[in-house]
Amino acid sequence: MTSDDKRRETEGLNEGKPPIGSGDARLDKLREKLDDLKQTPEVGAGQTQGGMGGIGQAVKMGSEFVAGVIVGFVIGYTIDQVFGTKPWGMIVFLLLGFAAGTLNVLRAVGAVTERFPSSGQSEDKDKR
Amino acid sequence: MADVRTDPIHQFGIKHILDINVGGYDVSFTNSALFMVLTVAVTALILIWGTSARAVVPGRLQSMGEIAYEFVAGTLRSSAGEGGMRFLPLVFSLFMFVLVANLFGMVPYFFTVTSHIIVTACLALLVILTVTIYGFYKHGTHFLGLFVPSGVPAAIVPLVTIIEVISFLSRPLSLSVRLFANMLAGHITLKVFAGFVVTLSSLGAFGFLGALLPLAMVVALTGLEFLVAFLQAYVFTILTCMYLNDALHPGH
Repeated sequence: MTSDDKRRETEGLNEGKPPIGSGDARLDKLREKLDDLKQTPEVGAGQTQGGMGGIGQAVKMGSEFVAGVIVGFVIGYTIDQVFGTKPWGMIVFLLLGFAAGTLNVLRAVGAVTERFPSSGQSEDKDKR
Repeated sequence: MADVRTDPIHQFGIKHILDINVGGYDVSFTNSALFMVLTVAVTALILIWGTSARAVVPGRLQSMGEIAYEFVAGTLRSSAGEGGMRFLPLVFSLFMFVLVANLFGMVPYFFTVTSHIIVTACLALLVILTVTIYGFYKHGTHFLGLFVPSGVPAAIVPLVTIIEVISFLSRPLSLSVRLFANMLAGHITLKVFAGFVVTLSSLGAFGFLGALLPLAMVVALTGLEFLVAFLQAYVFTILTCMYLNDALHPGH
């Protein structure tokens, strides 16, 4: 019964006005209840990711890294085309792209802290 | 060998269903467009039909809709904070579109919309443009603080800034490539093993027994593909949430 009550309250809250910055005491109370409910699905989501094994992780890391290098290459190549500095722009920006790719990967595994520790659990998310 | 039955690439072919030509541009209604429309229609139908009852004790469809909603809302709230909830319509639409499109791809003879990079790239561009435009709209030039990490020695700030910019620009690329590559590779793998079954079983009794091995593999891969369909929709959503977080809180 209690869970039904909570669900109805949840729906009521979400159908109402956009829940941004409203200082209503009742809404705050509901939000706390809602946060309690949120704990369970979060755990479930983590398990899904773990069950995938290494494949998902590998593809994620690979695309993060390659994306950095490709973007570096494209920027460098474009600079070369525009300013006629062949091949220096490409060389420099490939190296920078390599660095950016490495940064992406390190950030994805959580070895480098997120830029914005203010946002609570986002760091936690990264480590998955 | 290039038989339609065993050709692993054949399934990704774009076919014109309705030829439309506007001002020299080919805007024909293709099988890809058809399945995009179907994806949106099925998603909308499930959600509208499912929530129409508004029962206290939800039925199957309503329960499905509620689980999807609470899952996306929880993900968004935990990674972008309470202020990120204004993006819930966008994030929820993206999640449902990717998820339903991925699952559609698992139905035999259906076209997998997300296995084409142009589709995933458009979705990723939508996300990154939202982040950029909203970031500048909300914070103005302060949004550029995203590219200058605090606590870096002044001498290497330009270098770090360029690397951060490249890192930012690589996001839509990695976001789109990840989804597209997963779906493409998964479907090709499935088709290749299924092709082995067809080829081997045509080699008489001995080949028929041999075909059992790839058949078992296809069964296992199908299960894996369903997992990947869910997982990639989830990954796309969580990364969208994290990028939106950047737009809301660009450094200090």
